[in-house]
Amino acid sequence: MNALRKVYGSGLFHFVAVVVCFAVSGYAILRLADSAEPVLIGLWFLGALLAHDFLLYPVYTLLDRAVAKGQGLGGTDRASWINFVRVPVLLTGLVFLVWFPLILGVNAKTYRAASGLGTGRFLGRFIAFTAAVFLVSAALYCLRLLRWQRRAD
Amino acid sequence: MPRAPWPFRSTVWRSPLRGPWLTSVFGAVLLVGIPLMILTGLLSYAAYNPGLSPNDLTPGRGLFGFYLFDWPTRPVWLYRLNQGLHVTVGIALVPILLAKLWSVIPKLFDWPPVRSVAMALERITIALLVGSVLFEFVTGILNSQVFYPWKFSFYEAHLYGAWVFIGAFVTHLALKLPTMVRSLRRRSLRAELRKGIADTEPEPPDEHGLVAERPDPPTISRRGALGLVAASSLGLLGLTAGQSIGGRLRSLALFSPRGGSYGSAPNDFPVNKTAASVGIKAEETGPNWRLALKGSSSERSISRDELMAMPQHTYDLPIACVEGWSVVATWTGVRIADLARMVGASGADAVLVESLEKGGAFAQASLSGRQIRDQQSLLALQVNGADLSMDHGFPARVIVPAAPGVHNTKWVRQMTFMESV
Repeated sequence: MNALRKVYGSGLFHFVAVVVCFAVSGYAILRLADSAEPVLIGLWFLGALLAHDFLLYPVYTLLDRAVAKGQGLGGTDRASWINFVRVPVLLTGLVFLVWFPLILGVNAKTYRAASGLGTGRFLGRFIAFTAAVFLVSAALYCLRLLRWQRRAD
Repeated sequence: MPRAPWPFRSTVWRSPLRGPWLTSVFGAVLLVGIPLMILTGLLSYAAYNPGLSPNDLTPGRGLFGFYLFDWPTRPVWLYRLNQGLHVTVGIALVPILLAKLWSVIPKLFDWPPVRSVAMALERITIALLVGSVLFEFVTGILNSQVFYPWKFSFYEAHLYGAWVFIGAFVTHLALKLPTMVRSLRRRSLRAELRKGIADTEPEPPDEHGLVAERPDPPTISRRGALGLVAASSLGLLGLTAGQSIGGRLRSLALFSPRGGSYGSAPNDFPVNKTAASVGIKAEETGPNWRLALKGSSSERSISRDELMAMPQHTYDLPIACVEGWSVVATWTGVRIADLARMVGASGADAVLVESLEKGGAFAQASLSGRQIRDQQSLLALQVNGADLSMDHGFPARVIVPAAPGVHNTKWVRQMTFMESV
């Protein structure tokens, strides 16, 4: 047992668990390899991973840091507005991330064939939704400032 | 030891919120959500009755068909519930998944990247885990919007991708569940939810490298961050659920492909393909249309008037799409069992239903013996008290309780009953 730990770096349980993954996932990859477009599927698999780790994550992190820096106030400062930007950006950003094909109409042709409808209404809805979320956030921030000022007086 | 290159330096990570406890909270939510996704996903495949030709869209499935069974027809809302859960919960899990990945991203830049064989192998399982979960979410969400920027079969990609994920998920669970439980015990969620930003301290230094060495001051409380993730998830849930649940909620499904409001006329409910898109011509569906019925020993050709003269049955049945939307309608037509009897095929084990559609994956589908014999399985001629519209399958379409939407073949041309398959 100690020999395994020394050579392998962990216990037998770890080894078995990893083997289970390679057995099941490996068999699935073999099945995929038999499909019509294995290389393309593999590229999408890799693409999804890279797109999250090296595009989506750095972009939202850098944006967030830029906003935090631009504000220049500590989080405990009552005039801090960062979360009144963060929250609406996150909510509308997620809606866009999930439904961008319909919002941008990039799937307009297949969508019309499938549903008989155009995609036009989704962009309007998204703009209205975004405006509403940011307005509510701005209103809440104003309320907070007012309350803070009243307390200071 | 030489200094790690950027971004492998531990000082890169600044969030005061990251730590094993926060990761474990997201993990615990996923531990409920992900198995539900796996279960509904596997059931969704079984619902296609892939044992019947030509229903199987992943004939190379091999051992992954081990659990398949004859899909039931009751309860009539079974497929509707299954698919509604799969798509709605999937979309609601997007923020949780992204938050979980955010919370563990420092691990991607571990330094040195590999310290033992065990670590190297485990990192490969993590790459499979994260790659497959993102792949499944991307393909699933885009498919639900009929957006196909790829040229591979969605069914193959999503099924085998799911099994890559299942393998990696089980392993991740086996290796990390003890850590999750231990981390959750270290802090009380209730106590954490009482702390504002001023009381938000980093978690104590951990052996996983998640807690920042030099954290910035917090700009949001841990409570705020958890609340934000929860609110986003519930928000997406609220924006999606209506396309499956229907009623007033449907108008809340603002961005769902089949959400929003439809008119109140009998045929005003979503379709999943239009007559024009599959090349149905008006003359094919006019007075010259005949339904060809084939049994093993006899054949019949029936006009729509003759079908109308047969005993009519009316049932409220949902039509539910693999894409997650569903709607209940009142269908009227003849029992498929009655049609089987007309060609001496009462004991049929399957019926191949062929459409007037020109090509496409679902221009034909087979129904099982159980589906044929269900009293509520109809060849529908009317919906909600009016003749079917062209887009809903005029002159006649199949409606079978609890069957996937695409198996309710529209514009039926021929039904071939088979004794044993």
